[in-house]
Amino acid sequence: MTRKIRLVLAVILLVISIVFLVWGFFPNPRETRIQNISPEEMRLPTPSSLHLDLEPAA
Amino acid sequence: MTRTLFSPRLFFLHLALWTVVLYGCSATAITEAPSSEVTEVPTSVAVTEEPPLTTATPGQTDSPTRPAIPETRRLTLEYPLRIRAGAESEIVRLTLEVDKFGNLTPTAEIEGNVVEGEVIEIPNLYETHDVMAEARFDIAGMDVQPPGATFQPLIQGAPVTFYWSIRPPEVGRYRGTIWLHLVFIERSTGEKSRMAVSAQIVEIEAVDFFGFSTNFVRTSGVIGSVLGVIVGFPFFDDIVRYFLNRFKKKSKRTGKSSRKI
Repeated sequence: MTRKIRLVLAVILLVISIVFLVWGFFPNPRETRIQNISPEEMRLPTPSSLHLDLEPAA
Repeated sequence: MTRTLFSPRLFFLHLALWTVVLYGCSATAITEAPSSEVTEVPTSVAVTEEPPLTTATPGQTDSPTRPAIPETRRLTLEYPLRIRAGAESEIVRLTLEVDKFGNLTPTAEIEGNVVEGEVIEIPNLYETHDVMAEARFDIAGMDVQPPGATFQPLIQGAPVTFYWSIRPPEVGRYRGTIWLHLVFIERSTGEKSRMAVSAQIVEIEAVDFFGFSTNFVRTSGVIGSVLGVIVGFPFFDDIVRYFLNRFKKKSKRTGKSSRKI
């Protein structure tokens, strides 16, 4: 009887420990994103200006 | 005298039952297989234009011969989707490499005839400017090293890589943005211009094991395995004997059948 209990206990311990070890040491899933950047997107920024063509009030 | 204490059937039944129950319970917590998901991001989605720092010059129009970097580049971002909270850190990598298949001259092929587009002389930016790549990882609540913006010189034909080490202090979902800017410094005047090349939103989940910390789970796993082996050590003899008997029975059966033939 004690032998049976010991066997069951050993199996439970091993299974739980294996689950813990798998969770604890499994590599994390990773994502890789690839984006192509054309030369047009790496141009010097366009100098901008503000022109206000104000017309005289009548 | 027959050995009735060890029943192989009972042993395997228990083993299978407990495996199914425990895996079923932890199905949500156990991480998925380390699938390296690769997604191609269209440039128009991630690129956002920031107001440039250049001084405004009245009367200047947008000309197609503005200096540009004469190479197609490929931006690769690699980050973890899930991290175990509290115990471990992970690496986020951002690489701006030269695309080997990048074709600078617009070329089209129609039914075997190669049609080349008009070649426009674009001034090489590297000849007139010092180009710097500036990367920043903004994510609230997570420890990021190095914090703030990091700079690396962009040299023609050479890749640049940025690394961050991240560590979530608590369980939860963390959302952040990885920025990449190009900083152009004119060599003659020292004038600086800055433009955003990419802003990518990342979402990282920090998890634990049903409320147990990662360190606790790992330590329990190691100690439990050792204890399980010690407790179950007397039965290994029985298990080996069981498998040996099965092997012997099988070999006897095959021997008998071959004699009949």
